[in-house]
Amino acid sequence: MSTLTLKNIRKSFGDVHIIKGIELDIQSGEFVVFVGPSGCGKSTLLRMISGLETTSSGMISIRDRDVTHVPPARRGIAMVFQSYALFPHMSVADNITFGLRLSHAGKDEVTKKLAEVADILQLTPLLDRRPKQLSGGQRQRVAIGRAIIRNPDVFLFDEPLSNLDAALRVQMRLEIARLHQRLKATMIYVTHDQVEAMTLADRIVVLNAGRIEQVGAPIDLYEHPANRFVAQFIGSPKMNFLAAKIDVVEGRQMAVAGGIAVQLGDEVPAQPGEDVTVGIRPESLAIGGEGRQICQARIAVVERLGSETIAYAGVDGQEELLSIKLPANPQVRPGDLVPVTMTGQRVHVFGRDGISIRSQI
Amino acid sequence: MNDRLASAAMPSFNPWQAAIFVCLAVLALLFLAPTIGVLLSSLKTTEDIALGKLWSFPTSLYLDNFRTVLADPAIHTYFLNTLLIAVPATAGSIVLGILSGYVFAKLPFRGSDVLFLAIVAGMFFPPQVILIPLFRLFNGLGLLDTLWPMIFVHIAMGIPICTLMMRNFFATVPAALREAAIIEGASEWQVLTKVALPLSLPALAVLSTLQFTWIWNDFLWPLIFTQSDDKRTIMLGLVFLQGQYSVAWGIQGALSLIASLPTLIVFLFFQRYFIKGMTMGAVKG
Amino acid sequence: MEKDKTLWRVAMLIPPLAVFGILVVWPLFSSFYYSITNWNGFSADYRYVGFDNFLQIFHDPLFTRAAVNTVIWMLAAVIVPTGLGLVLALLIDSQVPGASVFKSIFYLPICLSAIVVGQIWVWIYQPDWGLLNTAINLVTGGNSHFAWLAKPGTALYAVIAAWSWQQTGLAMVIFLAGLTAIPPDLIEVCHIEGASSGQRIRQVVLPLLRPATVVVVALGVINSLKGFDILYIMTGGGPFNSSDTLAMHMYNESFKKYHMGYGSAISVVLFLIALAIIFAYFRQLRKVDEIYE
Ligand SMILES: Nc1ncnc2c1ncn2[C@@H]1O[C@H](COP(=O)(O)OP(=O)(O)OP(=O)(O)O)[C@@H](O)[C@H]1O
Ligand SMILES: [Mg+2]
Repeated sequence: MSTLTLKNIRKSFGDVHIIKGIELDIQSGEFVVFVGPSGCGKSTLLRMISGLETTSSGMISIRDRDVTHVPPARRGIAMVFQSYALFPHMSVADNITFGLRLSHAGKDEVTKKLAEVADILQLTPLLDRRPKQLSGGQRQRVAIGRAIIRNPDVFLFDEPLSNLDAALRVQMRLEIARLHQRLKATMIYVTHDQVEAMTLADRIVVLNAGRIEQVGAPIDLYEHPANRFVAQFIGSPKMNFLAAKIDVVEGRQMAVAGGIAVQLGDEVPAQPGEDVTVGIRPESLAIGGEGRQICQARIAVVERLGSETIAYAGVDGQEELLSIKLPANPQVRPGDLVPVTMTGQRVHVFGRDGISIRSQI
Repeated sequence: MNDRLASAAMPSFNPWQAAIFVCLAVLALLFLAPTIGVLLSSLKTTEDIALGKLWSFPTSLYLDNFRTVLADPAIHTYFLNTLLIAVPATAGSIVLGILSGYVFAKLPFRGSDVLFLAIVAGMFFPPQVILIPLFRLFNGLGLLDTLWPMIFVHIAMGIPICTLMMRNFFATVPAALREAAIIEGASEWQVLTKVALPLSLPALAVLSTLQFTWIWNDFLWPLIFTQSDDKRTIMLGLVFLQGQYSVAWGIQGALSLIASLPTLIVFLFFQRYFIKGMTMGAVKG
Repeated sequence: MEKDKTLWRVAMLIPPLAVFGILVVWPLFSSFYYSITNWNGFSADYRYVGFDNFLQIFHDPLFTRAAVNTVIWMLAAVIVPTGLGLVLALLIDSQVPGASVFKSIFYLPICLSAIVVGQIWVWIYQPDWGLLNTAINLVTGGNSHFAWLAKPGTALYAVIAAWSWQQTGLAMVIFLAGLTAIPPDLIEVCHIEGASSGQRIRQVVLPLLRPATVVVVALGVINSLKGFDILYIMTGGGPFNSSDTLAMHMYNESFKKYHMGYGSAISVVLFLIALAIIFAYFRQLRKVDEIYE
């Protein structure tokens, strides 16, 4: 059953169109993550779902009920803000039960629900504190508690972890994942952070300039990006892109770009001489070794991250450095001239319009 | 206050600092002289003052001037009248400022900036500009020589500063707090009363001290709107009594001090708010 | 949702706007109306006199006098409290011990009413035992009984001095607020670059105080336009109207002589002057905002 349906949603502020027609269907219990570059309209879309922003045109329905013009409190949603948005003058308990008390819920009911929620989030010992007396992670849990107690059909999160330091972020990420499993609730989550998106999402929605670029399971987006935009947005370090021409050498289809020649295993539907962009993930490249050599490159910079190393290498005829993901401690130094090989098999080919012609093994 | 004090307070003697300190101390004495003069005169008999002994330190504590003033029933009336005006007018202007400030800060609309500026500009105009029409209005309503005109006028004249301060303060309340409350089912009124106002207590303190002081010290409006003695406010009464005690300088001094007492107390206890209000009102106006 | 917001806007704006409209905006416009009548304040019949009142302004030597005095007052307001306030602020800001006490002392007069301030200064100028003559006699050894407030040559300036005494504290705190707003690292840069105190103040601090200066100057000018109470109690505009200002003149014409029509015309002129100042002020503020933010 679908919990949330967006039908051709649009939003403009004055003459500026921010959301340009979004179609999306979210299933009950799904964890959906919106990603996209800054300013692409993720927050705006989320706020339209919440009802904090009006919808210029289109329809939003939650559990088959048209809520396009329903005020936020009656949509069956709850929202967790990036800044937590806790009321500084209220205790944790009062923050969590704010909505219940506004709706004149009975005292017993409030107490009971509060106890449940506090238990789930391990907030029981903190109930009498003020937000100021809490750590960032605790504050975020209170904000989540305030959402849970409403028992909403859809949870909305707008970059809830971006105010936390790296270690806490990982911990809270796990907590949110556990919470999702436990509540089996529908959740929509906006983030900048790829890792959050990849690890939390059942499905990722990649937004760009107010449009959906691609929707799919994280691994799908990684393996089958529908276009250049998604390909460069998902995956870290970024995919290498080479401006290339299709050629046929000894009966084999090749993509040739400056000093690089990449063999395209199977045929892709492109004519010889056609301009394409070839995308190769840094993790599909290596230096020397077994794979097919595609070019010679001079190492420019080596970044050693401990568990892995990223080498950036210049190739004749290519403007951008090629990034190559290497094992922990390879014997490379800047200035070395090295043979670059393909280990992974995957080559992505994008047409001149940026649409994936075919990505294939 | 002397040099020794200054250098003692500092780890190492710095001639520049000492010079500055002396400079300031001299200026401060000059600045204080008028106030000290009043204080001294209030503690002396008229004869002493006339004999040129004003600037000597009083040898004995002479409190008759204060006794005379405090026993004067007219003073009691003036005080009461001023309170009856200042308290409701302060409260009223703040309440109205809260309402408009909230709209300008949290519910802006097309043209609201211009409207806001127009209201704020109101605080800069000399009151003479609206004196005559208001006189006519209250005359027509039969309210001249009552306390009502002052209450109304002070509420109205307080709207610009109250709107300005409340808007600036509400603007610092994060938008997400309002939105969180709205999602929880709060109406704008509930956002205002349950979220924005409880967070704005400092602004309310600033405004109350400022408004109270201004209204207490006001002179022009009661001068225009009242006639009979039992409707006078304290500042008006002060001028009137100046005639009555024309050469009784000591009594006049005591009068001035007593009339200023409420605002001096406010100043002493809420100086921080007072200064904040003055600079806030000034800087963003 | 949007409709809800609009309803709340209307509901919340109506009370303040109604009060403000009835008691401030409407009277303002009626002033324009009365200024073209010969109303005397009480009688029901008055008639339209066109621009007679405004023409009269040009032939009224008292008006000219008051206008000149108002300009003098404004100039003094720009120079004395602004200059003195700036010096005090800079001195106090230099981490001198007891800074907060000094601040309170200079600020204290602000919370006194203009009436009380006026009265205090009447005593200072008192011919026989006032502080000023006492001090002069002490220094010169003479026996002066000069009546500062009763002489046309000195009355206006005597009042302005009293007024400046009160306003300096306000200028000072605004400058102090401006000084605290200067990022400390800018001052530290000066120390690192080896700038002298004089260079630091002239080349860094003063330019950064420009926004505060705009505020202080504008406030001084506007407040001097409002100056009435202190004048009323100290000289009443006298002697021989030598210390009249526009605000005082307007009051005298309207409520002493009951020339309400003419008084309204003066108030219209006051309004226009204030309007010009406020426009200039808001524009300066915007300019300053653009440069400094
Ligand atoms: N109230 C508004 N009025 C006008 N423009 C707006 C308004 N709110 C958002 N925008 C514009 O809409 C665009 C999308 O904003 P939005 O906040 O949705 O971006 P985002 O994808 O969440 O970005 P980020 O990742 O930085 O949070 C931005 O260009 C922003 O300037
Ligand atoms: Mg955002």
